[in-house]
Amino acid sequence: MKNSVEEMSRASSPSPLTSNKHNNKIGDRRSLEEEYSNCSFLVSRFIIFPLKYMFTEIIKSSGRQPKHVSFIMDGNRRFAKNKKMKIEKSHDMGFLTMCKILNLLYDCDVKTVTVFAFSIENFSRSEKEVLDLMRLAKKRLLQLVTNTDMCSKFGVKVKVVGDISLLDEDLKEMCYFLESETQGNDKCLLNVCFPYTGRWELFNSMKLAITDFKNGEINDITSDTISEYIYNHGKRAEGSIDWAKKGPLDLLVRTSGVKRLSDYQLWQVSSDCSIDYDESKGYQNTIKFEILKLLWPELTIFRIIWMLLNFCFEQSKK
Amino acid sequence: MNSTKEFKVDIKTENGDSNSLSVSSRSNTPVSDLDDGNKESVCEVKNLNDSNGFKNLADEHLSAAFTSPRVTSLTRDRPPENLRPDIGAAVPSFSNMSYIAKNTISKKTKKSTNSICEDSFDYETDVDGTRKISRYIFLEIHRILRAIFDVILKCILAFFYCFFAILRFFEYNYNSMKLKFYSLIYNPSNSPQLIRSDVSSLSKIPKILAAIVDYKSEEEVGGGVLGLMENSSDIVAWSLSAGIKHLYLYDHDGLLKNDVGLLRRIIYNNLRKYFGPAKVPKFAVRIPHTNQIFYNLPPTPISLEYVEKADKKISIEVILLSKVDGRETIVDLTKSMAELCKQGLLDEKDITQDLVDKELRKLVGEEPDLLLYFGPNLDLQGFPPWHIRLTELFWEHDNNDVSYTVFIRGLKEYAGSKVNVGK
Repeated sequence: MKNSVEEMSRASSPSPLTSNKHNNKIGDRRSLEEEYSNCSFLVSRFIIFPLKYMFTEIIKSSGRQPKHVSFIMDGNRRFAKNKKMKIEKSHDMGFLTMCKILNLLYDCDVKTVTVFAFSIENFSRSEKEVLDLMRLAKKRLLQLVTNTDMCSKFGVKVKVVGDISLLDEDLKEMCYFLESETQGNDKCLLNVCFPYTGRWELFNSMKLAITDFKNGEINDITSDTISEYIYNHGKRAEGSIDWAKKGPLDLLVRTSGVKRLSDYQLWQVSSDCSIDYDESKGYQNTIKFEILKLLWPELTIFRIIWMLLNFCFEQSKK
Repeated sequence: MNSTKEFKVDIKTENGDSNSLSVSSRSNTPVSDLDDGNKESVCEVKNLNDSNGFKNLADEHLSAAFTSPRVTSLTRDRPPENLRPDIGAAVPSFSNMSYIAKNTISKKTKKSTNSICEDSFDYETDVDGTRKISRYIFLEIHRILRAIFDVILKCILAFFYCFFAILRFFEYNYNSMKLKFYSLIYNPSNSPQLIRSDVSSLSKIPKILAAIVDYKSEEEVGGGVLGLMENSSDIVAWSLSAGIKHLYLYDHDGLLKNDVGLLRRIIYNNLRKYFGPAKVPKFAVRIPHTNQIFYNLPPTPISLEYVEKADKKISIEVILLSKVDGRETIVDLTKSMAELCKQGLLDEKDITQDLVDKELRKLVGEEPDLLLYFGPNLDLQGFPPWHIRLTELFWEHDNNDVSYTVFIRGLKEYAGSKVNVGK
């Protein structure tokens, strides 16, 4: 079954990287913005931009902004159903929302952002659906590949978290390309959870810890060790940056009003107060859950700004 | 702390001596290093003391549970680790507004003087003296403007904080009003028939329910360990009436586990109150961490013969969890597997996700369908991470009681939700 999927997906687009070179319209964020923005140039230039600048400066000056924000992007398909548009279009809009939000968050000095793009459970659908999903995933990754200008602007290191071995060759190649392109950046981190489940992540880091223990690289396994493996994507802290110390999870946002984790960041969410004691903040790190009734493409940056200000306010009371 | 002070003093005098002898050897770094090390060691000692104290406390409780459960055994010497600030202090009010404003404005940021222009203009390359000065003045002006801008930002921030404080005040009152209103609708009644009639309209009920209960300080109503146990026994009675067979009770510090005898007695009394003394349902209390199961009431000299015969058909299984069942269990499992691997008893290829899943099921239990949190803001407090994969989470904002309202509303929410894995 898998072979046929690969063949068909290959037939649909010859190679993602070559099509990238031919300036494919699919991935260009600016063209997307032009296509989907419903406010005029003047409004965006003279009202939205200054407002956004002011709010980001305010949030930065508070010094209480979250360090690690994580999103479950839910509701793309329901949005398409409600608006009676094609699913691909709503996915494009969802991607655009994600880009805008990422820009805003990195402007506000958030160190790590994690987005849930694709679950391993999604492979359990019918063959045709999986094929469609893979095509979509390819398109989305292509969008990310072509929009690396954002990464270089903020110094974002992109990391694809998940079981890459489940993907076909093209997608693997794209993942590696994306990672190698942004490897030098070390200011911020973007985790793209692509074929991912929380249990897989936890199991993977457990297994790597076991291997390292067997080879004598570590002497003891504590919960800090596993945290380190999870936050550094299955490796111990590389070089100068230990992402586990730079930002344990602070804020988890889920759209479309479902109060469930859906196998996402299980280890990080159930943080024990005594373990995640944050010295720089001087109090115990607790995770704030934000469950929004909106669908993902409906989410605007001002909703996020409101959320961040509220977060700062709640932190300031501690 | 005394030891550190002494140590410091010693070092200082030593340093002073060395200074008087030779001026050249003025080194501050080793002193600070030593100081740090000492601090660390002190901390460790403190931690050890803490854990010992806790162990002693647990031993006391256990021994009390086995000999004769008295209420006096529950007087606690020190509060548990996870003592939450009581809701009274967190209730928003208008009086702390000025404090918020002062606090936000007076708090210093790190990069207040760092201007953007510094990076773009490097005036050292310029040779001309006059232009250099003008540029310097320009930079100074920019810096001053930036400082003014920062002050303005702080003012706006303070304004926003005040705004949020007001909003929070109204939100809190609205939420508590809403809860009171709901509690009028779902009139808390001590009869299982009414609960069953509430539940019977729901399309599905969770097979396994989990509840996180908080320890409250003893001054509050329903506080202390006794209050915690009474609340838990209420949850047991409700879920039994609703037809739920398995119930996880999670408290962070494992206070429920410490005195199982008392908990069983309280649950028994509460069930007798609900179902009548003639037909008290059978229940079992299980502690996965120590792998113990207790059926019904603890044995007393009179009822000893009944306990031996007691049939193990039960209506509800209560499973007590705490912090140790969460991350610690996973770490212990990893450690034991790693040691087995090192000794060559377990092949690395045999470690699969299914194996880990199976082991964790054995060590903790099945995945709950619904998790209720009886607190103001969802805080999982280290609930077993492997087991909340598809669990529906439910909590009421600004609620601080273990109330029937939260329970029934949680069940309703669960009945309305639909799980489609991966779709």
